[in-house]
Amino acid sequence: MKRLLRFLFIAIVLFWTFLPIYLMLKVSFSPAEEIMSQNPPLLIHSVTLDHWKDVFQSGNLWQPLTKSLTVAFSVMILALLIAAPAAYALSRISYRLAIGIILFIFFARMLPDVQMAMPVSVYFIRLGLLDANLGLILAHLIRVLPIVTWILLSVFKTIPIDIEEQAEIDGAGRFQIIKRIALPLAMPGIIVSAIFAFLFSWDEFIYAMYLCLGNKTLPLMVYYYVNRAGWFGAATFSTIIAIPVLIVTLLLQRYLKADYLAGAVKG
Amino acid sequence: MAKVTLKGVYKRFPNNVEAVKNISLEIKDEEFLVMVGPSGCGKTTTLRMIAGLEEVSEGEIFIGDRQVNDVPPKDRNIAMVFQSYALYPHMKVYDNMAFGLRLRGLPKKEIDQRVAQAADILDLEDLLERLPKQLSGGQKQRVAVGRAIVRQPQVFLMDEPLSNLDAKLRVQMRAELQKLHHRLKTTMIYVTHDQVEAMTLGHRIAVILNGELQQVENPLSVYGKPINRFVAGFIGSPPMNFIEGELKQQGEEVSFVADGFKIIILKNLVEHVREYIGKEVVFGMRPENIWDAPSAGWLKEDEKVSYEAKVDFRELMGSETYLYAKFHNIPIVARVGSMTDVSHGSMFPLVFDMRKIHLFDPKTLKAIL
Repeated sequence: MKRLLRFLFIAIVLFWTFLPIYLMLKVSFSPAEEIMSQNPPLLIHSVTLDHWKDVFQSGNLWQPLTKSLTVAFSVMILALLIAAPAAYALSRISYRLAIGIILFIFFARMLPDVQMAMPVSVYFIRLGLLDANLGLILAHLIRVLPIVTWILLSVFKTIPIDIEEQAEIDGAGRFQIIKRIALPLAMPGIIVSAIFAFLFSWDEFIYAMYLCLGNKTLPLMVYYYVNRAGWFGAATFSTIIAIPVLIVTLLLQRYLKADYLAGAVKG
Repeated sequence: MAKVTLKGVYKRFPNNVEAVKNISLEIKDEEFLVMVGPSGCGKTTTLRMIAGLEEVSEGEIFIGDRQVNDVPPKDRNIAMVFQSYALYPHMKVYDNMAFGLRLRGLPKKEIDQRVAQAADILDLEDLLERLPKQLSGGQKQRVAVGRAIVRQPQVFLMDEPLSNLDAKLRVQMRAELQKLHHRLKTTMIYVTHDQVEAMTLGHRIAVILNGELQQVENPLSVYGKPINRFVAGFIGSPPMNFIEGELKQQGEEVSFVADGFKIIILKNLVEHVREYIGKEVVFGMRPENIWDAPSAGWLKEDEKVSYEAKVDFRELMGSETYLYAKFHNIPIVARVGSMTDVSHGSMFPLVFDMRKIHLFDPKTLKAIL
């Protein structure tokens, strides 16, 4: 009985999660007349590749795809390169001071994006960063850096200072300690941060809206189709957006271990 | 191998706390020195200064003949075992032990050999491929010690290495550490709050209180001739009995008197206490020098005195029994024979061995006798 209930619960959650994804996929592969009817069927009756062909041949795919990939991976890597050392340093000073600094960084986040994006893009015009990948990367970092720094601060905080002192006595310099002790032990947190940074940038919309003129990102393309009632193009683009997310998450999740620090100190 | 010398060492923390005050101490080459004191007394801070993990605020520390005040830990050629073991959780036992050797660029063959040797000494051969989380507390402790000995350092520093083990394992590891020191003959500085560990392990014991070094001597001297009331009360379990009273003279006879309690100072000891006659003093006697009448039979009549005390409770230890009693309002702990039959609240004659008395100055706390 208990097992049956559990099974039911899992089934409901799975249904809840996968139904929208299924619908998106289905729309992208279904003929227009089947979807645009009074009562569209839930199950797949006929399959067409027309929408996918349209999207591939429209000339609208490759440029946004490469732009989105470039920006998202750059944001991910830059966020880690900047936030990891910052968080490590913050984790080794007084906690109150560290939180103070983090809150200060968060200040920029307290204003809504819609409001922040305007002055930022005006400023970027002067710097020649409008419509450039670098501009969008910098804009995304405004949002990503505080959160990633915060996540990594708590991650580095959990590494017992004893372990680093032991490494120091064993002969490691500051740099060695970071490379061989702190970073490997913080790996699960770093991966979470990486996934977060990638995902944030990958489907970010508001800054992209302000800062992209000719070269659009994938979310803007979905919007482009939705705006024109291009439901099938929108569904196809949405499916395409989902694929790298799946790949990145699957590749990185094997580093997520809950008991990474187990066994370090005490019994 | 090297001696370690502390010259007038102070440690002041930014919040103006003076954790270590003017400690001067020479730890001889190959010596096993135990620093002992209650928690927060500054013993760990002192050890950390020797390790280089804390800066020295004032004074000098030498390892061998080299002044190391500004030498970083990695260049001091020391190894340390932390209370928490501080194993690298992402490395196998082998790599935990090899870490320091690899950083120093030793050839792989040499590393293999040293790790194998340490594993052999500490019985770790079967664990080399395990991660720390797959080890029991005692095994982790041995890995931590192994990681220290593969380094072949000049000095071993140990910060309460046994305090996270259960009682049985602690006794076993105590013996292991002694054997290990015998075998390696490396200078060892060992910090503990456990006076039993201090007594059993140390060639010499350094007793520290409130950041100040009280006494450094071999265990029996510290136990038998504590330099002040603090050391007397800290070393020994259950602690020494203290009674506040006065030293009085009647004719030839000098005696300690307090609240109906009187102990004659033996003639051969009177010389040492003459200047305190008529003054207040603190009397001290260890529980094992207070006997039940049958056990005290061997003492000469003029070396003992008996008082009836009311028994509060007793602790049966198996081989012996501790009686917690009160004479008038003076609490007294006595060690009596394990067969002693006594019930709570009853009156029980306690025999004091007058040869074993301690006297302390109540103001300076220094030992008079």
